[in-house]
Amino acid sequence: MNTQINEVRSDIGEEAPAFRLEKMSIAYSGNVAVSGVTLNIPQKQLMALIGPSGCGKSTILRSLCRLNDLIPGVEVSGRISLFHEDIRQMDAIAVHRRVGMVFQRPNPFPKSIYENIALGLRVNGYRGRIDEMVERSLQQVALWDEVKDRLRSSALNLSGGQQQRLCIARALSLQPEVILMDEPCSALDPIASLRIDNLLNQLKQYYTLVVVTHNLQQAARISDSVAFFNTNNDNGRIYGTLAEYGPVVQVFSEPQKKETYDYVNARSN
Amino acid sequence: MTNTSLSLIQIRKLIQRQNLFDQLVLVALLMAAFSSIVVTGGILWILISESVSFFSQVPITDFLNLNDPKWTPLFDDKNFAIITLISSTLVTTGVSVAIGIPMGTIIAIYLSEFASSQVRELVKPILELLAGVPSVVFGYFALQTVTPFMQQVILGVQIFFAPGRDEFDYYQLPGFNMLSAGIVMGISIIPLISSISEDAMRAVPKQMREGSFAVGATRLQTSFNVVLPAAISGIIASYILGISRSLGQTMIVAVAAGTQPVYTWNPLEGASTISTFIVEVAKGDIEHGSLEYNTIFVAGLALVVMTLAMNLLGHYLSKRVREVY
Repeated sequence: MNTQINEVRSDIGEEAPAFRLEKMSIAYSGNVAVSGVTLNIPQKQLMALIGPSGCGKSTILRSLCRLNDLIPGVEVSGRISLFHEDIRQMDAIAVHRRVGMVFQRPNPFPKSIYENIALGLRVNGYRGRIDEMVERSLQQVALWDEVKDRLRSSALNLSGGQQQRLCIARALSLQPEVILMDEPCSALDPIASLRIDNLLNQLKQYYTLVVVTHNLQQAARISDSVAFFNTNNDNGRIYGTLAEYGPVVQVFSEPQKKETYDYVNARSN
Repeated sequence: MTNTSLSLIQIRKLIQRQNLFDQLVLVALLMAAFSSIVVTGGILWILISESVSFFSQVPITDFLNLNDPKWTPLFDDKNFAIITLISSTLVTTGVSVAIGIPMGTIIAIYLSEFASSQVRELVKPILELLAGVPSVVFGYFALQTVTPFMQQVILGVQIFFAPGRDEFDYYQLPGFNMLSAGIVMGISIIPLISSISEDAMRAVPKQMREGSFAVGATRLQTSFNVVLPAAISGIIASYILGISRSLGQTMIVAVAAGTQPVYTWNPLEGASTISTFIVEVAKGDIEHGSLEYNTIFVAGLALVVMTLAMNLLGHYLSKRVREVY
């Protein structure tokens, strides 16, 4: 009896992963893109997904919030669980509400700055005061002081870095359990991307973050753990597999596998 | 230096020849662009010069008369109150817009945001077929099919609300009426509105939709909150084109709305629109250069002014709306 309770407690405690992927494979109309990924994504930490182009990092990220549902012909096998719930058994919209997503290119809605955040709250039936939540979310991404006098002007007039922070604020306003980011800084200049990095370092205290990046220096700066994916060539068909994952220091300085060592060192020097 | 390479002089000649060719193409393109201006200018010139000769014979107060307006340029007792024709033009256009804009927009949203590619492949050619139906066919469709149907509907509504009277005590929809003409005109502009609006909505980047799905919005919420505002300037452009086409539509109104120039804002009555009047007079035998002849041009000018005002409004709206968002 006692042991059972202990087991349950350890399950729901700090150590329980936010996402647990078990033998997950993804195929686009029969062509395997990612194969056999088993990975735990820890809570309230930042995990960076790194690896060469075509290894399926973005595909995995899109599957975690079920955005791949929109693309016809995508098949996901294996199991993806969000706090022990299989996300493919859940309603897609419920997954979108619990798992936020920030995209590679800033994609604010063609509406005012205020509406960009209020819209998400409204479609989710938010019952609190929208004004307060807009202010709080914008303050979390350090955008409030820059835009507080022009909340009603178009979000498309903001700079790229501001737009990306607005998109992060939009995701934060819904208080998701996990926020996924697909190369959030690749379309930004170095100063704007440094600001995002600092922001992510603060946010990971409160949220579970999963960030796809090609920038290894960024991965080293912001992440707690790193998952390295590699490409495999099966008679001309390229697909990705998880090579290894672990704490950031381990993956960067003492990688278990040669391909990880090659990738990390070839790029960072 | 091998003999396959060009000498400096040869290169210079080549460049000169290419420059000459570029200049020729440029002139040709300019002339093509200019020709449309010349044609438009020519039409406006004829309309205005004939209208000037009209206004030298008819005081402008008669033309803009709003008290007891009549339009009887072909009678002995001549009246020239243009509002008679403008009212019916606006009524038929209003009815067509009330049908065409909602239908066209809904079809565009469905095709762009919801339909599977198979459904789209099936529906789009049918819509294009609708766009290809000659307007005279639409006119007879309005007169022979829609009018009898609307007569039944209007009778039925009256019987429902006030039953038990003799059939001829109820209001009878006349055989020529602006309602049927407007409805069919609305159907005829659906393909125009839906195809341009759909193009505008499909041009909205995929990332914008994904951003909306990522905050938990449904497809319907995404269509109305994100895609529609992003595509609004293209959608308004389609509305303007539809309205302008309705304003100038001739065959449908001439066949189905009657040719009596009656001043009325009631869509249940029949009345001649500006375009109906023009076609009516132009096919009669009137003396070239006479006052009756001039009325065609002054009516045409009124139509051009209305269409132009519509286009300017649309231009202003789509610019303004785009700035807000």
